[in-house]
Amino acid sequence: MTLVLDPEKIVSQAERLGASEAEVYIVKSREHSVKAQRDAITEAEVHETLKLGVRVALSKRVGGAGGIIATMNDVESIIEKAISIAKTAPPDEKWPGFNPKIGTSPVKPEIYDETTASTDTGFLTGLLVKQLGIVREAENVHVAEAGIGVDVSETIYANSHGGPVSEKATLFSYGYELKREGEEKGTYYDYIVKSRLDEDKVYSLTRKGVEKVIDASRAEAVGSFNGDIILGQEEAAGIIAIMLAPAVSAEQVQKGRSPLRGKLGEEILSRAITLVDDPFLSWEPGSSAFDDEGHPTLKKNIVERGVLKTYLYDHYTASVEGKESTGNADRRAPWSKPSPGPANLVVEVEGSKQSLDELIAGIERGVLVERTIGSWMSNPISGQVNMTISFGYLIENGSIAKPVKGLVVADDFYEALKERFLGAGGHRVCFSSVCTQSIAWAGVRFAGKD
Amino acid sequence: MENVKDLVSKALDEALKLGAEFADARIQSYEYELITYDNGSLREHSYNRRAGVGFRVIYQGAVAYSSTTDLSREALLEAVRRAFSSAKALSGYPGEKVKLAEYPAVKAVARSHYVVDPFQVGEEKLEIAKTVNQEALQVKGVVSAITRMGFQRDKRIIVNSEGLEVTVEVVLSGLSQASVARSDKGLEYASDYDSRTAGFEYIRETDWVEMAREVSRLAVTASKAEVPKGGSYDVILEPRMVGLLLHEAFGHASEGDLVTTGASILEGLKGRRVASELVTIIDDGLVSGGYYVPYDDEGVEKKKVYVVDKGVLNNYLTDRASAAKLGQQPTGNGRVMSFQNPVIVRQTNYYMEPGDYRIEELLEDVDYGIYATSKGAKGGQVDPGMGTFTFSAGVSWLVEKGKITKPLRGVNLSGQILDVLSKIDAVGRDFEVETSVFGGCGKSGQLVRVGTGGPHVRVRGLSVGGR
Repeated sequence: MTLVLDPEKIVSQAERLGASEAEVYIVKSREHSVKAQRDAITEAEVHETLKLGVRVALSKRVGGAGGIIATMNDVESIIEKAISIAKTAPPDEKWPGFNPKIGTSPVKPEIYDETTASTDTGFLTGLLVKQLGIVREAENVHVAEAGIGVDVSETIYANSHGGPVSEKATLFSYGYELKREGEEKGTYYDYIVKSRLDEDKVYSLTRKGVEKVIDASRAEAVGSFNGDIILGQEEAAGIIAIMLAPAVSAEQVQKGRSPLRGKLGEEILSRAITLVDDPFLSWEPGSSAFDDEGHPTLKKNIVERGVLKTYLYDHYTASVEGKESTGNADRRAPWSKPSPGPANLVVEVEGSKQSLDELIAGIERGVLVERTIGSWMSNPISGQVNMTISFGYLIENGSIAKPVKGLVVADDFYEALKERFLGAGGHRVCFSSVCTQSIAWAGVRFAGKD
Repeated sequence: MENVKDLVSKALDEALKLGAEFADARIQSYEYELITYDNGSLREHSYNRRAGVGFRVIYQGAVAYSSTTDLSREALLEAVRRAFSSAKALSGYPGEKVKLAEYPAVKAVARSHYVVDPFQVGEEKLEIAKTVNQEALQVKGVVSAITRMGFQRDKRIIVNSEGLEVTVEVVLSGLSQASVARSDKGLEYASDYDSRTAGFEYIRETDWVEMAREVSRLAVTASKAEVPKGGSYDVILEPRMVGLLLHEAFGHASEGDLVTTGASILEGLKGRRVASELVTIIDDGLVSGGYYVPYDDEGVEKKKVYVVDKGVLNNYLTDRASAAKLGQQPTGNGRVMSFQNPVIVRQTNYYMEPGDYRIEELLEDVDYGIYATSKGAKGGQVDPGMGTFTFSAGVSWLVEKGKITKPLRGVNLSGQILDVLSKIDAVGRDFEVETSVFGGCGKSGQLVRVGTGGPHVRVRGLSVGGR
């Protein structure tokens, strides 16, 4: 990729063309990945991309444009398009201007790893071949699909008030779907996304999959019953991200779409739970020294011992309330308007159990959830959690009884984590920018095969 | 793009000269415009575009992809060489080699019909979106309303080393409404959308205000509604819900790449009964109301495929690679999200053929069940290997002794793939297929536009989540 974009020049160019303010967001990335199907290496991919987003304000009229850039002509036409959109926009009477406080946090999180950045297709292929070898040792277990990839990127932000700020990051991803054949058929998938390549984790995750797919193949559909639920770390992380990330966004609160509106200072979760937004965790993809509008990031408690302490703000939503941004601007795409979102949500539970077994031991009848489908269809506006358990373990009298599948759960998230919370157990693990132990609550209706 | 096509053809020649047995390319030019009105104000008006070329090279059965946004001769040659060298490196590893099913060197150009280019329309777009949004907010009990208007132009040229050249251009326009209402039971939302492969004339000709008011009224109803008790219910599904059911419960499992990798529960079931004999399922690139897929992203003509014919699994959906493995003809289902993505098997417009029942007849035989409707449905998901699927409904209705009695919210349905279609005991005579400019189907990190639909149907004994 030979084209080099100068963010300050783009801001100046937009101002020359009539913008009273402009902001520029640039993402350069290089991706390598290798894929395997049915126990064999099948495909490799290499891509380089340069994405540009330009937003401009003509007084209080705002517009944005962007795209993948190949030539300097593309840059000019994007600036012109953003200005033409702004010209037709009605004025936004709440418009505070683009973020005036540009900079990086004093803490510089570890998110760029030179070794990861220098890996090539050959190295990734070698890793995947070793992974295939681990699976091949297991009887009747096959790799249906597996993929491994590295993404090296640089994000640059500038606007009429300052910048540029820039940050390099690496991203390593590995995932698989294993299938068990023979009389007992089943599949199991898992994945990891971190900012640094971790070879040992690839092997341990694969070995875990080989064990789990055997249980998954034995999972039975069972009838409906009432009991307690333990969400394994990955599923707990998923639900917390879906339910809480939008609910604590100041934009959703201001627009009347959050059940947490008007609840600052109130107990919304169990007194045992503290929820921290931490942008400085090493090797987590959510970490960054500045947010998506160039504002320095900072660590904050969102929920402290069950009590809601703050919402998350970007510059726009903060200025609506006369506050400072919490450094949580998040963009869907370089050309999108930002909105508040968490960096990494860390769930801390007071009095949590050392091991998952201790948590299981306290449950008379329930399900330990390993895999769900449809949990992303949970409703952060009403607070209703939805999920279908595609693989879990039935718990009876404090012990794992057998693997189960096909149970549907619908529950009230806030009531469950406040009134019926049983605790947490095992290691805290980070998935999709949420770090949590396995968590449990009581009084769940499991709808099954009746 | 025509200039680029010649340069790309030369790059494909280079791949053959280097020793590749096959190479193809997808040249894409894509534009998307989004207007969002939120609680009476313009939240966002943005435009984005991408253009580039993605190459696939096959060398001794190994496949590699590379892409470039630099459309110069040198950059295109570099990209194809990069793909070749990756394929060559992979070819040294053991394993099954990729072959493509044979397909003729078709030359074709296809464009979806539109009258008014939406990208050339100015303030009228904003006026319509603003009016719709303001009207949605007028309904008593509504606390928030989001109106989105979206437009897409997607032009793709597929060229391969065998001489194939296919151009497909699709213009898609649509509007969506989501409203949130508050009652003493808390917040709830409802939503709806409509999109067509058409230009701005579709936006002008549709009564969006009435659609938005209806969504707001439903949000108010939903905010006062109960969540069902979890358990097993007889369920009547409206056409959009049938589309979701088929797409999730059966469509993905019928995709040839999942069948050949062993990740589908339908592997080995071709010719076997997998559904009630009332059920016929079709994947069709050219159905009215659906997305426009005359050719897939390998340039293969999209055929109307009877996946299930009167309850019997008749065909898998395939791209050229999975067709070769399955010993089938390619069905025109090899698709990509963008020029940067690899070809995988995707549904196009997946729907059920209508039957004979009137809606009242479907209700008649339900003693205690649910009428599941789509306005507020979020989508669905399947685990094709475990055979479990789920999908969410919008604001729905309890059915007691054949009559619709009271509204329900938070209805989520689930079942087992090989079980659910055999539980369909009545199929309606109505029919509707729809697509969306705001979303689509996700698989392997790629989102593509699809269409889904069918008639109303009745399913006995679906699992429904509840408290």
